[in-house]
Amino acid sequence: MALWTFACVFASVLYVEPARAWTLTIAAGSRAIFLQVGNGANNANLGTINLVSVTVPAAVVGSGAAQVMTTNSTQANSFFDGFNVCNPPAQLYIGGYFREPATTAAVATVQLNAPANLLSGTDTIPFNRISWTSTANGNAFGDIPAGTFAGGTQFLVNIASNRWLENCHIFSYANSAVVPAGTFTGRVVYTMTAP
Amino acid sequence: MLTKQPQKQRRQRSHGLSVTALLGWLCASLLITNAFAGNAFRVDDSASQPIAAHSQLRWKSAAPRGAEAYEAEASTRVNIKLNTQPWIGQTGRIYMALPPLANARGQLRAAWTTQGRLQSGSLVSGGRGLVYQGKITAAMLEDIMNVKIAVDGRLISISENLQFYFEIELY
Repeated sequence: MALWTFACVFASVLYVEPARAWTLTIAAGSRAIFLQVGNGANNANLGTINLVSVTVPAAVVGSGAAQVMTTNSTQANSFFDGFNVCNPPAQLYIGGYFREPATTAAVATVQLNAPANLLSGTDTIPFNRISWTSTANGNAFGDIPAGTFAGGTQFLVNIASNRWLENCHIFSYANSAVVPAGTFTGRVVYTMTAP
Repeated sequence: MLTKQPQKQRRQRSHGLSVTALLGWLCASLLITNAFAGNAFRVDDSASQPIAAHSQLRWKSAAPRGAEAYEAEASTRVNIKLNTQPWIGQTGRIYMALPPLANARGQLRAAWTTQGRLQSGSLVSGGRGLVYQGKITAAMLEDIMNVKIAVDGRLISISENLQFYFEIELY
Protein backbone atom coordinates (compact mmCIF):
# COMPACT_ATOMS: atom_id res chain seq x y z
CA MET A 1 0.00 0.00 0.00
CA ALA A 2 2.82 2.35 0.86
CA LEU A 3 4.37 1.58 -2.46
CA TRP A 4 1.18 2.42 -4.35
CA THR A 5 0.73 5.58 -2.39
CA PHE A 6 4.24 6.60 -3.22
CA ALA A 7 3.70 5.72 -6.85
CA CYS A 8 0.53 7.73 -6.99
CA VAL A 9 2.10 10.76 -5.44
CA PHE A 10 5.15 10.40 -7.61
CA ALA A 11 3.08 10.08 -10.72
CA SER A 12 1.02 13.10 -9.72
CA VAL A 13 4.16 15.07 -9.27
CA LEU A 14 5.27 13.97 -12.69
CA TYR A 15 2.10 15.37 -14.22
CA VAL A 16 2.41 19.11 -13.93
CA GLU A 17 -0.07 21.27 -15.78
CA PRO A 18 1.87 23.41 -18.22
CA ALA A 19 2.13 27.02 -17.17
CA ARG A 20 -0.15 29.58 -18.78
CA ALA A 21 1.98 32.54 -19.69
CA TRP A 22 -0.20 34.23 -22.23
CA THR A 23 -2.62 36.41 -20.37
CA LEU A 24 -4.17 39.76 -21.09
CA THR A 25 -5.94 41.95 -18.59
CA ILE A 26 -8.55 44.17 -20.15
CA ALA A 27 -9.86 47.17 -18.30
CA ALA A 28 -13.39 48.48 -18.71
CA GLY A 29 -14.12 51.08 -21.37
CA SER A 30 -14.23 54.67 -20.26
CA ARG A 31 -17.30 56.56 -19.07
CA ALA A 32 -18.15 59.60 -21.11
CA ILE A 33 -20.75 62.26 -21.60
CA PHE A 34 -20.87 64.52 -24.60
CA LEU A 35 -23.11 67.43 -25.44
CA GLN A 36 -23.08 69.57 -28.54
CA VAL A 37 -25.16 72.68 -29.03
CA GLY A 38 -24.78 74.38 -32.38
CA ASN A 39 -21.48 73.98 -34.20
CA GLY A 40 -19.21 71.26 -32.91
CA ALA A 41 -17.35 68.10 -33.72
CA ASN A 42 -17.46 64.56 -32.48
CA ASN A 43 -15.93 64.40 -29.01
CA ALA A 44 -14.23 67.74 -29.50
CA ASN A 45 -14.23 70.42 -26.86
CA LEU A 46 -14.79 73.56 -28.90
CA GLY A 47 -15.23 77.10 -27.71
CA THR A 48 -17.75 78.00 -30.37
CA ILE A 49 -20.73 79.96 -29.08
CA ASN A 50 -23.49 80.29 -31.62
CA LEU A 51 -25.81 83.25 -31.88
CA VAL A 52 -29.60 83.07 -32.11
CA SER A 53 -31.13 86.37 -33.11
CA VAL A 54 -34.03 88.23 -34.61
CA THR A 55 -34.48 91.77 -35.80
CA VAL A 56 -38.01 92.94 -35.15
CA PRO A 57 -39.29 95.38 -37.75
CA ALA A 58 -40.22 98.67 -36.15
CA ALA A 59 -43.75 98.43 -37.50
CA VAL A 60 -44.52 95.27 -35.56
CA VAL A 61 -42.64 95.83 -32.32
CA GLY A 62 -44.84 94.65 -29.48
CA SER A 63 -47.63 93.57 -31.81
CA GLY A 64 -47.79 90.08 -30.39
CA ALA A 65 -46.82 88.59 -33.71
CA ALA A 66 -44.17 86.06 -32.75
CA GLN A 67 -40.88 86.50 -34.55
CA VAL A 68 -39.06 83.40 -35.66
CA MET A 69 -35.41 83.67 -34.79
CA THR A 70 -32.46 82.52 -36.82
CA THR A 71 -29.02 81.25 -35.90
CA ASN A 72 -25.49 81.56 -37.14
CA SER A 73 -25.07 77.83 -36.74
CA THR A 74 -24.02 75.83 -39.76
CA GLN A 75 -24.37 72.47 -38.06
CA ALA A 76 -26.68 70.53 -40.35
CA ASN A 77 -25.33 67.01 -39.95
CA SER A 78 -25.23 64.70 -37.01
CA PHE A 79 -21.72 64.63 -35.66
CA PHE A 80 -21.99 60.91 -35.31
CA ASP A 81 -23.04 59.58 -38.68
CA GLY A 82 -23.23 62.64 -40.87
CA PHE A 83 -26.98 62.35 -41.27
CA ASN A 84 -28.58 65.65 -42.28
CA VAL A 85 -30.54 66.13 -39.11
CA CYS A 86 -31.01 69.92 -38.95
CA ASN A 87 -31.71 72.75 -41.35
CA PRO A 88 -29.59 75.72 -40.33
CA PRO A 89 -29.73 78.62 -39.98
CA ALA A 90 -33.34 78.26 -38.81
CA GLN A 91 -32.54 75.29 -36.61
CA LEU A 92 -29.96 74.89 -33.89
CA TYR A 93 -28.50 71.43 -33.47
CA ILE A 94 -28.45 69.90 -29.98
CA GLY A 95 -27.31 66.36 -29.28
CA GLY A 96 -25.40 64.27 -26.82
CA TYR A 97 -24.80 60.88 -25.32
CA PHE A 98 -24.08 59.11 -22.06
CA ARG A 99 -21.58 56.29 -22.31
CA GLU A 100 -20.61 53.90 -19.53
CA PRO A 101 -19.18 50.37 -19.36
CA ALA A 102 -22.31 48.95 -17.81
CA THR A 103 -26.03 49.12 -18.18
CA THR A 104 -27.35 50.96 -15.18
CA ALA A 105 -30.34 53.02 -14.20
CA ALA A 106 -28.15 56.09 -14.07
CA VAL A 107 -29.03 58.97 -16.37
CA ALA A 108 -27.19 61.98 -17.65
CA THR A 109 -29.14 65.18 -17.21
CA VAL A 110 -29.19 67.98 -19.73
CA GLN A 111 -30.05 71.38 -18.35
CA LEU A 112 -29.80 74.96 -19.41
CA ASN A 113 -29.26 78.12 -17.52
CA ALA A 114 -30.55 81.45 -18.77
CA PRO A 115 -30.48 84.85 -17.14
CA ALA A 116 -33.76 86.44 -16.13
CA ASN A 117 -33.50 89.11 -18.80
CA LEU A 118 -31.94 90.01 -22.07
CA LEU A 119 -30.07 93.26 -21.59
CA SER A 120 -29.48 96.38 -23.64
CA GLY A 121 -27.72 98.72 -21.30
CA THR A 122 -30.24 99.16 -18.53
CA ASP A 123 -33.18 98.11 -20.71
CA THR A 124 -34.43 94.57 -20.36
CA ILE A 125 -36.57 91.98 -22.05
CA PRO A 126 -37.63 89.00 -19.95
CA PHE A 127 -35.97 85.87 -21.24
CA ASN A 128 -39.29 84.05 -20.98
CA ARG A 129 -40.36 85.78 -24.17
CA ILE A 130 -38.18 83.36 -26.05
CA SER A 131 -39.33 79.80 -26.59
CA TRP A 132 -38.38 76.97 -28.85
CA THR A 133 -39.84 74.03 -30.68
CA SER A 134 -38.05 70.76 -31.27
CA THR A 135 -37.81 68.59 -34.35
CA ALA A 136 -35.33 66.81 -36.59
CA ASN A 137 -35.16 65.49 -40.11
CA GLY A 138 -36.29 61.92 -39.89
CA ASN A 139 -37.56 62.34 -36.36
CA ALA A 140 -40.12 65.05 -35.85
CA PHE A 141 -40.64 64.04 -32.25
CA GLY A 142 -38.91 66.33 -29.81
CA ASP A 143 -36.68 63.98 -27.85
CA ILE A 144 -35.07 67.08 -26.39
CA PRO A 145 -38.37 68.81 -25.85
CA ALA A 146 -39.75 72.22 -26.67
CA GLY A 147 -39.92 74.85 -23.97
CA THR A 148 -39.69 78.45 -22.90
CA PHE A 149 -36.79 80.07 -21.12
CA ALA A 150 -37.76 80.82 -17.55
CA GLY A 151 -34.62 82.48 -16.24
CA GLY A 152 -32.42 80.29 -14.10
CA THR A 153 -31.70 76.60 -14.41
CA GLN A 154 -34.15 74.46 -16.36
CA PHE A 155 -34.27 70.76 -16.87
CA LEU A 156 -34.27 69.72 -20.51
CA VAL A 157 -33.99 65.95 -20.73
CA ASN A 158 -32.47 62.86 -19.20
CA ILE A 159 -30.32 60.61 -21.36
CA ALA A 160 -30.27 57.00 -20.26
CA SER A 161 -27.19 54.87 -19.87
CA ASN A 162 -25.56 54.19 -23.23
CA ARG A 163 -28.12 56.20 -25.13
CA TRP A 164 -27.95 59.04 -27.56
CA LEU A 165 -30.33 61.89 -28.37
CA GLU A 166 -30.30 64.69 -30.91
CA ASN A 167 -32.76 67.29 -32.09
CA CYS A 168 -33.00 70.69 -33.70
CA HIS A 169 -34.43 73.66 -31.85
CA ILE A 170 -36.24 76.51 -33.55
CA PHE A 171 -36.44 79.67 -31.46
CA SER A 172 -39.14 82.26 -31.41
CA TYR A 173 -39.47 85.68 -29.78
CA ALA A 174 -42.96 86.37 -28.44
CA ASN A 175 -42.84 90.08 -29.27
CA SER A 176 -45.61 90.64 -26.78
CA ALA A 177 -44.58 94.04 -25.47
CA VAL A 178 -43.11 97.27 -26.74
CA VAL A 179 -39.50 97.62 -25.73
CA PRO A 180 -36.98 100.39 -26.24
CA ALA A 181 -34.89 100.26 -29.36
CA GLY A 182 -31.60 98.47 -28.90
CA THR A 183 -29.72 95.22 -29.16
CA PHE A 184 -30.73 92.94 -26.32
CA THR A 185 -28.44 90.05 -25.51
CA GLY A 186 -28.17 87.24 -23.04
CA ARG A 187 -26.29 83.95 -22.93
CA VAL A 188 -27.83 80.56 -22.37
CA VAL A 189 -25.51 77.84 -21.12
CA TYR A 190 -26.34 74.19 -21.68
CA THR A 191 -24.84 71.61 -19.39
CA MET A 192 -24.85 67.87 -19.09
CA THR A 193 -24.04 65.98 -15.92
CA ALA A 194 -23.92 62.33 -14.94
CA PRO A 195 -23.52 60.71 -11.53
CA MET B 1 -4.62 -21.30 17.58
CA LEU B 2 -1.35 -21.50 15.80
CA THR B 3 -3.04 -21.97 12.50
CA LYS B 4 -5.41 -19.04 12.87
CA GLN B 5 -2.83 -16.34 13.02
CA PRO B 6 -1.47 -16.88 9.52
CA GLN B 7 -5.03 -16.96 8.19
CA LYS B 8 -5.70 -13.59 9.78
CA GLN B 9 -2.50 -12.25 8.35
CA ARG B 10 -3.46 -13.56 4.95
CA ARG B 11 -6.86 -11.96 5.24
CA GLN B 12 -5.28 -8.67 6.18
CA ARG B 13 -2.81 -8.96 3.38
CA SER B 14 -5.53 -9.81 0.97
CA HIS B 15 -7.64 -6.91 2.18
CA GLY B 16 -4.64 -4.60 1.96
CA LEU B 17 -3.95 -5.60 -1.59
CA SER B 18 -7.52 -4.82 -2.62
CA VAL B 19 -7.31 -1.34 -1.17
CA THR B 20 -3.96 -0.81 -2.76
CA ALA B 21 -5.22 -1.96 -6.10
CA LEU B 22 -8.22 0.29 -5.82
CA LEU B 23 -6.08 3.27 -4.93
CA GLY B 24 -3.79 2.46 -7.76
CA TRP B 25 -6.67 2.27 -10.16
CA LEU B 26 -8.06 5.57 -8.90
CA CYS B 27 -4.65 7.13 -9.14
CA ALA B 28 -4.13 5.95 -12.67
CA SER B 29 -7.62 7.05 -13.65
CA LEU B 30 -7.05 10.45 -12.17
CA LEU B 31 -3.83 10.89 -14.04
CA ILE B 32 -5.35 9.73 -17.26
CA THR B 33 -8.30 12.04 -16.77
CA ASN B 34 -6.07 14.99 -16.00
CA ALA B 35 -3.56 14.50 -18.71
CA PHE B 36 -5.33 12.93 -21.59
CA ALA B 37 -8.99 13.89 -21.35
CA GLY B 38 -10.59 13.92 -24.77
CA ASN B 39 -7.23 13.16 -26.35
CA ALA B 40 -6.34 16.81 -25.79
CA PHE B 41 -3.05 17.70 -24.20
CA ARG B 42 -2.24 21.05 -22.72
CA VAL B 43 0.68 22.66 -24.53
CA ASP B 44 3.32 24.42 -22.52
CA ASP B 45 3.27 28.04 -23.63
CA SER B 46 5.10 29.40 -20.62
CA ALA B 47 7.64 31.05 -22.90
CA SER B 48 4.95 33.10 -24.68
CA GLN B 49 4.88 36.76 -23.81
CA PRO B 50 2.42 39.50 -24.75
CA ILE B 51 4.04 42.82 -25.64
CA ALA B 52 1.45 44.47 -23.43
CA ALA B 53 -0.28 42.45 -20.75
CA HIS B 54 -2.80 45.19 -20.00
CA SER B 55 -5.13 46.94 -22.37
CA GLN B 56 -8.08 49.23 -21.84
CA LEU B 57 -11.18 48.63 -23.87
CA ARG B 58 -11.87 51.38 -26.36
CA TRP B 59 -15.38 52.03 -27.60
CA LYS B 60 -15.50 51.30 -31.28
CA SER B 61 -17.95 54.13 -31.67
CA ALA B 62 -17.63 57.05 -29.29
CA ALA B 63 -21.36 57.58 -29.29
CA PRO B 64 -23.68 54.71 -28.37
CA ARG B 65 -25.46 54.64 -31.67
CA GLY B 66 -25.62 52.39 -34.70
CA ALA B 67 -24.76 48.76 -35.25
CA GLU B 68 -21.53 49.03 -33.27
CA ALA B 69 -23.00 51.14 -30.52
CA TYR B 70 -21.80 48.98 -27.66
CA GLU B 71 -18.79 47.27 -29.16
CA ALA B 72 -15.49 47.80 -27.40
CA GLU B 73 -12.07 46.68 -28.50
CA ALA B 74 -8.65 45.98 -27.09
CA SER B 75 -5.57 44.63 -28.75
CA THR B 76 -2.13 43.33 -28.08
CA ARG B 77 0.74 41.55 -29.77
CA VAL B 78 2.01 38.28 -28.41
CA ASN B 79 5.23 36.39 -29.01
CA ILE B 80 3.90 32.86 -29.08
CA LYS B 81 6.25 30.04 -28.16
CA LEU B 82 4.72 26.60 -27.92
CA ASN B 83 6.74 23.74 -26.56
CA THR B 84 5.85 20.93 -28.94
CA GLN B 85 8.79 18.73 -28.02
CA PRO B 86 6.59 15.93 -26.61
CA TRP B 87 4.78 15.48 -29.92
CA ILE B 88 7.55 15.69 -32.50
CA GLY B 89 6.80 13.36 -35.35
CA GLN B 90 3.12 13.15 -34.52
CA THR B 91 0.25 14.78 -36.33
CA GLY B 92 -2.31 16.91 -34.60
CA ARG B 93 -4.27 20.08 -34.27
CA ILE B 94 -3.31 22.85 -31.87
CA TYR B 95 -5.96 25.20 -30.57
CA MET B 96 -5.81 28.43 -28.64
CA ALA B 97 -8.52 28.46 -26.01
CA LEU B 98 -10.00 30.92 -23.57
CA PRO B 99 -12.11 30.05 -20.52
CA PRO B 100 -15.47 31.78 -20.01
CA LEU B 101 -15.29 35.30 -18.62
CA ALA B 102 -14.88 35.28 -14.88
CA ASN B 103 -16.56 38.55 -14.04
CA ALA B 104 -19.10 39.08 -16.77
CA ARG B 105 -21.94 37.35 -18.48
CA GLY B 106 -21.81 37.00 -22.21
CA GLN B 107 -18.99 36.26 -24.53
CA LEU B 108 -15.90 37.95 -25.76
CA ARG B 109 -14.43 37.47 -29.20
CA ALA B 110 -10.74 37.23 -29.90
CA ALA B 111 -9.41 37.30 -33.44
CA TRP B 112 -5.78 37.07 -34.36
CA THR B 113 -3.47 37.29 -37.29
CA THR B 114 -0.05 35.71 -37.46
CA GLN B 115 3.06 35.81 -39.55
CA GLY B 116 2.32 32.43 -41.06
CA ARG B 117 3.83 29.79 -38.82
CA LEU B 118 0.54 29.56 -36.98
CA GLN B 119 -2.88 30.11 -38.50
CA SER B 120 -4.93 33.25 -38.16
CA GLY B 121 -8.29 32.65 -36.59
CA SER B 122 -10.76 33.55 -33.92
CA LEU B 123 -12.52 32.23 -30.87
CA VAL B 124 -15.13 33.20 -28.35
CA SER B 125 -14.59 32.96 -24.64
CA GLY B 126 -15.41 29.50 -23.43
CA GLY B 127 -14.23 28.09 -26.74
CA ARG B 128 -11.16 27.64 -28.85
CA GLY B 129 -9.77 28.36 -32.29
CA LEU B 130 -7.41 26.40 -34.50
CA VAL B 131 -3.86 27.72 -34.75
CA TYR B 132 -2.03 24.75 -36.25
CA GLN B 133 -2.71 21.46 -37.89
CA GLY B 134 -0.33 18.95 -39.36
CA LYS B 135 2.80 17.11 -38.40
CA ILE B 136 4.80 18.42 -35.50
CA THR B 137 8.29 18.82 -36.85
CA ALA B 138 9.95 21.12 -34.36
CA ALA B 139 10.38 21.27 -30.64
CA MET B 140 9.11 24.84 -30.54
CA LEU B 141 6.37 26.49 -32.58
CA GLU B 142 6.90 30.23 -32.65
CA ASP B 143 5.00 33.09 -34.18
CA ILE B 144 3.84 36.61 -33.46
CA MET B 145 0.13 37.08 -32.99
CA ASN B 146 -1.71 40.34 -33.31
CA VAL B 147 -4.74 39.77 -31.16
CA LYS B 148 -7.84 41.93 -31.24
CA ILE B 149 -10.46 41.59 -28.54
CA ALA B 150 -14.05 42.62 -29.22
CA VAL B 151 -16.80 42.58 -26.64
CA ASP B 152 -20.00 44.33 -25.70
CA GLY B 153 -18.38 47.02 -23.58
CA ARG B 154 -21.37 47.19 -21.30
CA LEU B 155 -20.51 43.72 -20.03
CA ILE B 156 -17.04 44.58 -18.81
CA SER B 157 -17.48 46.88 -15.86
CA ILE B 158 -14.41 45.65 -13.97
CA SER B 159 -11.10 44.35 -15.24
CA GLU B 160 -11.08 40.89 -16.72
CA ASN B 161 -8.01 38.70 -16.78
CA LEU B 162 -8.02 36.65 -19.97
CA GLN B 163 -6.01 33.48 -19.51
CA PHE B 164 -5.41 32.06 -22.93
CA TYR B 165 -3.94 28.61 -23.25
CA PHE B 166 -3.14 26.05 -25.93
CA GLU B 167 -4.05 22.44 -26.32
CA ILE B 168 -3.18 19.81 -28.88
CA GLU B 169 -5.26 16.96 -30.22
CA LEU B 170 -3.45 14.14 -31.96
CA TYR B 171 -4.91 12.22 -34.82
